[in-house]
Amino acid sequence: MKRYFTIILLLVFILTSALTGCGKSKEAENNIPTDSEKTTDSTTQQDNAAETKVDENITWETADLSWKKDTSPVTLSAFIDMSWYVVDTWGKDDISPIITEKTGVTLDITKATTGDSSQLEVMIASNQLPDLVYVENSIMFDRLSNSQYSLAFDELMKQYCPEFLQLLDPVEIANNTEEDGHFYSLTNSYASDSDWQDPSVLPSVGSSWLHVREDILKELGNPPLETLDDFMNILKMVKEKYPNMTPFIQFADWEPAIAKFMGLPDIDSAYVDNGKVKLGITHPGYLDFYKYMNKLYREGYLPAESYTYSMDQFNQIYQSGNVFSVAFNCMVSDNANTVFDQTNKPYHFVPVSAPLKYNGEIKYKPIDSSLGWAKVFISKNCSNPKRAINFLEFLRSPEGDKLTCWGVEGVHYNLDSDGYPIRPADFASRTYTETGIVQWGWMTTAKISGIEFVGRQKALEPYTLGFQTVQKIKPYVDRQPALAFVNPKPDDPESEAMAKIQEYLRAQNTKIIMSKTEEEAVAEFNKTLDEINKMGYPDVEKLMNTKYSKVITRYQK
Amino acid sequence: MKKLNYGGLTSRNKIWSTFKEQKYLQAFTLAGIVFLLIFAYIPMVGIIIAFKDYKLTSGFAGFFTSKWVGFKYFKEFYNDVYFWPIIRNTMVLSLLKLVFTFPAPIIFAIILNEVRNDKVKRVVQTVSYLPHFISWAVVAGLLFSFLNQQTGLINQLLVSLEIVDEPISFLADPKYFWAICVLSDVWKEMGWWTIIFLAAIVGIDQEIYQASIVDGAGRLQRIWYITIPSIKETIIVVLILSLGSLLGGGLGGSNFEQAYLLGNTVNYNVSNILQTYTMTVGLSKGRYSYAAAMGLIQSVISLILVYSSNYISKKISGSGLF
Repeated sequence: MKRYFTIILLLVFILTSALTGCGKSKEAENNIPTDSEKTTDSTTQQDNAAETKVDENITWETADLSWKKDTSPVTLSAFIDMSWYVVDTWGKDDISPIITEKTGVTLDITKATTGDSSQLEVMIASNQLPDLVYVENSIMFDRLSNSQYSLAFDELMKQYCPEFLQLLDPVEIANNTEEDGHFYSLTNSYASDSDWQDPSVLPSVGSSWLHVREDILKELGNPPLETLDDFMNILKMVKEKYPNMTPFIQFADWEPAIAKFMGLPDIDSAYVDNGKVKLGITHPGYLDFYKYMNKLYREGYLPAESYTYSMDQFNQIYQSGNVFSVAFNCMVSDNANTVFDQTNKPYHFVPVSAPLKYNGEIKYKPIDSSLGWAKVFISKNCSNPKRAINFLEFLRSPEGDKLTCWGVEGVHYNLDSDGYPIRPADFASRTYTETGIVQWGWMTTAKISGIEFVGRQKALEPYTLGFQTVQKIKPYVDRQPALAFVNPKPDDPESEAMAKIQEYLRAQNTKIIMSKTEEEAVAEFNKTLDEINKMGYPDVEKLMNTKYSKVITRYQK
Repeated sequence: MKKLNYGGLTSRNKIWSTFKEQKYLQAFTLAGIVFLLIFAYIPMVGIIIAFKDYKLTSGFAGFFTSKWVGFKYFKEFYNDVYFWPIIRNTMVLSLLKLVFTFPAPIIFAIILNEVRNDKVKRVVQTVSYLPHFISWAVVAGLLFSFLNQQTGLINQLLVSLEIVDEPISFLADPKYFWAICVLSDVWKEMGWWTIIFLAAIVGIDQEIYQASIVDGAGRLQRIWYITIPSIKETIIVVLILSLGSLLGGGLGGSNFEQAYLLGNTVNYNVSNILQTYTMTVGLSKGRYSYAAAMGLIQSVISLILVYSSNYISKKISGSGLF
């Protein structure tokens, strides 16, 4: 028996060793600097651009940019960690063959499988990452942003394309720089301060907003809708006149528009109060928010079932025509009106024309701490780091950015007199999978993708209410990129408390709103604050402030 | 170990010669053993991370190199604000399913066996086991279409027949959650498990039935005194297996899918179970040691249930699974 047991143990050991040892051999082949060779002085990072300046006059239009020098065929493996992504093959759409023609790079794509969120984690644990990894998840940003798994962009740029480093906005470098002083990726769709001034660069259409049925409002005699009290009164009128209609629904997994109108941060996100970083739920204004939402629930304006819907179900409900007002993203009105028009229903949603006032004034001030949405990493296993960084340099260049976002002029768009790419009439009949438009914009900038968005919206008349809404939102946005760095990272001890707090707040948020009396709601709110303290919130807040004080200096220069 | 002698052959030689005779059949067994070894036994090594401070960044080697922390994560779970609600919800949902979903296929198999028209029998059997092949994601979508408060078919029917004045919030009201889970599980899995019991019933010697008819036994008496005792061993095997997976949802093994897809923040106080909490607070946040500790608790409880039910079964009926 002992012998069999020993054999089994040996087998387990061999298999485990084989698994843990996989993938390490490539590092030597790639001539990649080791961790010890890398500088860890974070203060030097800011001066990287200055150190590596090769030519004061170099621009993206310069003829001999590094990506143009070697365009021999090469294949890089890539993993897209987004199961919803619409392309999973290279070379079968309009755009990817052109990228190959220009750069010589062909991607061997693997896309995440639906329902299996652990694929990338297994690749990380087994050190089996492909050449490139394209991710959208902030936890994965933190996991991959270190020298254990990824090659630092700044070092690759210095070695293979110094002009790339020089052409980047120093603030963008700061936004992506980790505690070790290196940056391992560049978040795409990031808008620099100067980009933000461009009218084409707009907040996300995913921004929270409130939409109401214009046809019902007319039947009610167009009562004023400027304040949160007006809104409550209108819901009362709707309930009385249309007893079978649902007065209001809020999508549970979205930041509530009512909280935004009250000037509140998200409950589980950081905000700055007198120079101190705190978690949103601790904002003193939240008590009033919960009282307001609880009243909506108790009066029968907000059904509990609103908090049970998945996104598809939620869309189906408000597009049924039996809902008066909806709090979700900016696209609700356009989406619903498209369905109403197609089915010849005489209904019409409109976004509220301005942020609703609270206590007599507009408090709306959405915090934008996001620095973009997705990142490409060059893994430490990369078979050809030089071609990988050059490939990303092309994607980031205005030429690559326009190609991936807009397509080919004359085929996918024509510029109008204002310089916006307008899609041809047959464009709508072709899918994104066929054209590849936007899909390969892994390094896109907010400006180029913003112009594409505006051009696309221009062709969508009359369904442009969402577009008009984000234009209205823009002046109110409070850009605070430093807040993107304050949350505990997965391996910080405080991340354990944070995980519990976030899950607790998710459940408590609904519980407070669905309280049977206002007193119960207040008691439940106070209990929530007590519980998060017991769960370790003081340590989380302390860590957030430590991180914030380190990062904020980058933006004060 | 003492060696036995079989007519000059040692026990080892005897086993080897029997093995050689059965080599093709044993090949199938071997494939199963290799499968279990790779996908069930080797991964068990990972259990140790429940007692370690494992971080993903340490890779698979971290299973062995991470710092031991003893029962830290078990204590943390015990002190969690949701510990008792989670244990209660998991146990109640699992026991309700055992009570309702375990006897349902037995009863259905007996009823089906009594149907004399073969065509009807076949159609009913096919229709009843088809839902087994529908994923829970689709079932959740169907339940939404039938039960939602705004446009759900059931609510429209109830209101139009004036059975209720206001549509019922089946999906949000916590008091309906367990009932929806149990009923949908019975609908989805009953037909599938009926096949096993029906096969056992078909295997009963028909002469026993004929003899009982001669003795004057009625239909119910035949069921009670012949059918049920004859399939007793099958019932016990299935019962022990379903007790082993009790916390996962028993026969259907659907606790996680149901709680995840039908659970929401409104019915959280009844839908938050061990498996969903393991995912939301453990796996999705990258807290693998904590998730492993919660998973291990479930596995240990399941193991105790399997052994104790097998022991009790052997004591009471003389038969068990092992």
